[in-house]
This record gives sequence, C-alpha cells and structure tokens, in this order.
Amino acid sequence: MKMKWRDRDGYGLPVMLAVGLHLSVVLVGVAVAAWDGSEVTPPKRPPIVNATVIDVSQTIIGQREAEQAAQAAAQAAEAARKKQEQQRIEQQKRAAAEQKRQAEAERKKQETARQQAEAKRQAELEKQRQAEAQKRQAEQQRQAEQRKQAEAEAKKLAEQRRQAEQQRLAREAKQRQEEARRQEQERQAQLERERQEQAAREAAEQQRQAEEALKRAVAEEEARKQAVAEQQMVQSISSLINQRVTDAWIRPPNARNGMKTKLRIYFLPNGEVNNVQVLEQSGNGLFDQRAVDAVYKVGRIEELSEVDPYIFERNFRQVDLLFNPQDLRN
Amino acid sequence: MNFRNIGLILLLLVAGLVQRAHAQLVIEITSGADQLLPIAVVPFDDATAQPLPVDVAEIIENDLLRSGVFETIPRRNMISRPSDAKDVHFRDWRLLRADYVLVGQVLKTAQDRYRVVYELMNVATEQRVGKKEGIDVAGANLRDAAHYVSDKIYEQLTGIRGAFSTRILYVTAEGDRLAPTFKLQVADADGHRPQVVVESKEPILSPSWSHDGKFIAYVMFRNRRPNIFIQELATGKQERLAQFPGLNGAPAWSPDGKKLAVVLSKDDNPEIYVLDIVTKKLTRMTNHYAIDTEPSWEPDGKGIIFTSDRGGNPQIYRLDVDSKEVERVTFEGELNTRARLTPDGRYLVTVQKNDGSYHIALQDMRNGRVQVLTETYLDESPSIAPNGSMVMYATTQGNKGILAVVSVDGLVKYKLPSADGDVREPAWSPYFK
Repeated sequence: MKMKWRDRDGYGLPVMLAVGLHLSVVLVGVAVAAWDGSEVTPPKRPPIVNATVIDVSQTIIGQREAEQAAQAAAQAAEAARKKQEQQRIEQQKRAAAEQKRQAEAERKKQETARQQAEAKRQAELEKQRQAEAQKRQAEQQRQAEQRKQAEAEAKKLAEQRRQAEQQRLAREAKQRQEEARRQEQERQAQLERERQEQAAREAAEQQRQAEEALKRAVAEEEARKQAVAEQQMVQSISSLINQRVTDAWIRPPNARNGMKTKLRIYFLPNGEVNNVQVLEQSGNGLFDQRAVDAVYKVGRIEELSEVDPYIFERNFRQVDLLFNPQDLRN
Repeated sequence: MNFRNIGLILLLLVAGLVQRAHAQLVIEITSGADQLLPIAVVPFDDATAQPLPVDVAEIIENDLLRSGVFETIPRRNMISRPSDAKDVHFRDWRLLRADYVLVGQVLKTAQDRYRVVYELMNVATEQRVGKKEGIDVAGANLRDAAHYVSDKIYEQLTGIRGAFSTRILYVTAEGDRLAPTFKLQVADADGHRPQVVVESKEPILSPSWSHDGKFIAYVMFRNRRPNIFIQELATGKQERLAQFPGLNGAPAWSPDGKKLAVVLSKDDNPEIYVLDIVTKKLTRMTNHYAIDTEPSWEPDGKGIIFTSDRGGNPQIYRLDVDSKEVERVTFEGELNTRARLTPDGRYLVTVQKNDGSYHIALQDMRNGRVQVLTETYLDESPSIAPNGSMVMYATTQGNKGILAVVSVDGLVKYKLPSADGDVREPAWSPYFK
C-alpha cells in the first residue's frame, strides 16, 4: 500500500517520514515513559502500550491514504471534465470567429490571422494560467489539507498519545493506587492480623489468668475442704477408735474411777495395730494390761486403710489413748 | 479474710478431740464394756488312759463362771483343744472371741498321784500370763488342785484373790420335820464334798470360823439349852465355852483369833459380851434394856457391829471395843439384822426387811447408800467370801431352805446344789493359811 501510495502521490514519502518521525517520537516517548515508569512499576509489565499505538496509527494512516487517493482521483476527473467543457466552448468560439474572419476575411486576413493567433496564444496562456492557477490552488489546497491533515493527525496522535499517556498514567496511577491500596490493604490486613493476634494473645493471657485464678481459687477451696474433711475424718476415725476400744475394754473388778493409763498405739496403714506401748501407768498392772488387751483385741481399725495416706501419717501413725474411767461404781 | 484463715478456724473448731492441731492425737476412753471377761478353759488333756475321778477343767470353768467375772467359751464351740501353750493357735480363740485361754494337762505321776499343769494365755498379746505351774495331788484332791488353779487365774485376771479353795459351814435339818436331825457340815465353796462336822437331834445354830480357818464355833442345844462350842476342824476336838443361864448365842471370832463375841442373857436381857478363849474371861460390852445380838467383828478388831432394837425396831449398831460407845449404822429399811462387813470394811451386808420381805442388802459405809441385792424369799444369814466378792446366804425355795450366792455388785446370783433337807446358816470360811 505504501508503494502504491508512494507511486501515486509524490507526497507519500514525506508523509510517511513525518508519520514515522512522529511514531518514533511517540515510541521513544512511550519507551522513555515506560522506562521511567519502570522505576516505579515492576519491570515485568509487558509494553502493551507501544504495540497498541503502532497498530492504531497504521490503521488510521491507511484509512487516511485511501481517502486521500480517492479525493485525488475525483479532482483529476473534475479537471478533465472541466477541460473538455472548455475545449468544447473554445471550439464553439473558434467556429464563430472563423465565420466572422471569413466575413472580414479579406480585410483583415492578416490582422485577423495575427489576432486570431494572438487570441489563440492568449487563450492558450490564459488557459495555461488558469490551469496553473487551478493547479496551484489545488496544490495549495492539497498542501493545506495535507498540512491540516497532518496537523490533525499530529494533533490526533498527540491527543492519542496524550490520552494513551493519560491512560497509561491513569493506569499507572491506578496501578499505583491499587498497589498502594493493596499495600495499604495488606498493611491494614497485617495490622488487623497483628491486632487480632495481639487481641488473641491478650484474650488468651486473660483467659489464662482467669483460669489461673479459678484454679487457685479451686485449689484453695479444695485445700480448705481437705482441711475440713481431714478434721472430720480424724474426728470420725477417732470416734470409731474410741467406740471400738470402749467396747473391747473389759476392766478388772478392782478398777476404780480416776485410774489413768496412757497408751501409744502404732498403727500400720492397713489399720492394723502394730504395737502398743504403755506411756503412763495407772499403778494397777491389771488395769494397764486390760487397756493394752482392749487395743490388741480391736486389732485392726479397717477404716484406717481407706484414709488418705497423708492424713494417716499425720494423725494415725501413732495414736495415744488415755484410759480414764468415769463410769465405775467404785 | 482469706480461705486459709477460714480453713484454719474451721480446723480449730472441728479439732475437738485433737487437742493440738497436728500434734499427737489423744483419744480419751472414759467408759468400758460392762461385760464378763471371756475365757476358754480347754479340757485338760489327761495322759492317763484311765478316766480321771474328776474333770479338772470343768471344775475350773464352773468356778470361774460362778465368780461373776468371767464368761466361758462352751467346749462344743472350740475349734482346737490344745493342752500346751505351744499348740495354741490364737487365731482360733480370737474367732471365738476369747480373751484368755487356759490350757493344761493332768499327768499321772504315780499310783493315785497326779500332776496338774496349766498355762494361761492372753489372746490379745499372745503371751502367757504368769508362769507355767504344776500341782501334785492325790486323786481325792484333784478338786483342790482345780480350785487352786481357779484361784490363780482369778487373781491374775481380776487382781483379787480367788476364794474358790475356801469352804463353807452350814447347818442342815433332815428327816422328820417335827424331830429333825441337825447336821453341821463343811463343804467346798462350790458345795461339793460336804462333810458332817457335828450331828445332833437338837438344834445347831450360828456356825462361825476362826480367822485362820482351823477352828469353828457354833451354838448347839444340849438338853434344850443353848451352849457355845468351839471345835478344831482337823481333829474334831470340841470344847464347850459357854453354858450360862439363859441365852448363849451367836459366837463370833475376833480377828486375832483369841476372843469370841457372844450374846448372853445371863444378866436379864441379851447383851453383847466378849469371851477370852484361853482365859475364859468375860467382858460385857453392851448394857441396854433392848435386845443386843448377832455380833460381828470389824476387820481390824476395833469395833463390833451388832443388831439391836433399842431404836424401836432391829437395826445395826456399832460398838467401839475400847470405849464401848454405840452408834447406829443402818437407817434404811423397816429393819436390818445379821450384819457382816466385807473384809475391806467398805460394805455392810444385812438382812433387810422392806414391805414385809426379807432380802440381802448392801450398804456402802462411805456414803450410806444401800442396795438390795437379792430377790429370793425369806433371805437370811448372809456370809461374805474372804475376798469380799460374793455373799452366801440362806433362802427358802419351795418350803425348803437352800443356800444361794450373790455377788456384792448384785449382778451374779446362783444357788448351791441342794442338799438333803433344809439348809440354814451358811458361814464362808476365811482363806486357809
């Protein structure tokens, strides 16, 4: 098409050069802009803008050339038609002049011939002049149009470039914005995550502390309950020991109120009486012996085997029994 | 206030029995089981092929049962029958709830000679009580050996000297009610082996022991007049000490064995006199228009308690031997007669009439508190065992006089095997030296 364009019209090359120049400016601009942007934007971004510009430009230019060729053809046809019309008018004029010259033929043969030639030459010149003028005017018009077109084209290109630039800038701005927004979002997300993590950590800490406090309270309550339970246990087992020993204690007939014997019983953890020791004697050997017998007869406080070992060790590993009768007749 | 403080306060509140928190636990036992001491008397193995005259273990078992201190494990319940300490499986006896186990053997050592060996075991401690002891006796004395063992066990387990080897005097009236035969008899404390000391067609009354148990005194009528006799048991040698005009009655041996307190009415109405056995010197102790009778010495010999109706109806009075001052001792009951003091002087046993019934009563000399011990009919003539634990008395059962025993705490009562005829006026011997 270019070849055709160049063959048909002598302005093809300059236009093309102009267009090429513009293109190269645009390209360089884009490239520069692209490279400049690369400082901001990631370098991996493909140079879509350049390719798009070239294609668009070419398409637009092609359309323009076709239009220009069609216009030139129409102008040429118009010129030919006008020439033929003038030629036809000329022939009619020449036929009338012939008739007049023939009428005056004699008189003015030379004159006429010279005038005719002069007229003819004048006509020719005029015709030439007019043609020239027309041609000039057409050329001027064409050049003006071309200029106008080129300007328009340039303006359009500039506009396009500007728009492209704007778009690019907009895109880049948008990208930057998006990037910024994304980064902001990320930052926000990060912040949110951190905040949430912090909140979670704090919540966990609070919960841990709450659990700790609860555990502590429970432990204290448990300890208190245990202390009470221990004392209840001690009391209940003591009552049990008292009851069993009382039941087993068969006092000798010579026992008297006020006699006192103190024994120390050593229990095994299974509740068995391991040993009995007389700590304080009553002065009546038989009275002492019966107290010892009573303990051995009881033999085992089975309930002791179910007592918590700690409680056992603290309270029942050794137990003192004071035999101090208050109910005797004597 | 935190939990710990509350806990501490609660702990102190509930401590109760625990006098110091987490210090030595002290449990005070202030009462015991009012129950008899369970003992198993395992039949004594006799190494002799021939059957023994007596079942020694059974005699011991009965002695212990009658004491009111023991309960015995029936033989049929015994899981094993060891005759030696080394064969005693304490678990068996624990199962039977026996606190003590008596095991023993009767060995024939020669013709009519036996050796009784016994060991007393404490089931609780699995230890022998006392030592392993052997008693050599003739066949006729196996009962004595059994009573001896009973005494030892009783003393070891009660702290009180046993009185199973003691004897009793009592009077029986047999045969025709209008003309009975009176017999003064001596028997083991359990009523076995009675022997007639004196037999008479006239009444025999008020037998009494000397404090060494070798002599007895009693009232026996001769020609319808009461006379006071003393007699040596071993020889049967009899001596008439008093045959004063009127009443001669109720002889009571002084603790030193030298004198008799007697009742004489030679000076008008019955009064208390003291008769020196050797010098026959007579000392009048009371002088009152009322009847004074039934004297009995205090254990220390400083006083004589007697029955007098000087207060309007018979009550017990105390006579000071030196000053001859008299003071009233009993105040409860419609009347009190025939008083005897326990060997420790603590209790006074009387026949007390309440609402027309005669029962044996026990008065605490410390606080004057009186307890009626018996519920039998027409109880009379209480006599106290030398260890002060039991009172033997005469009572009436089915129009017949019998002997019965009650413990001084009133908890144990039993009747002696019934002899022929009426049995009256028991006298419990002292310990034989």
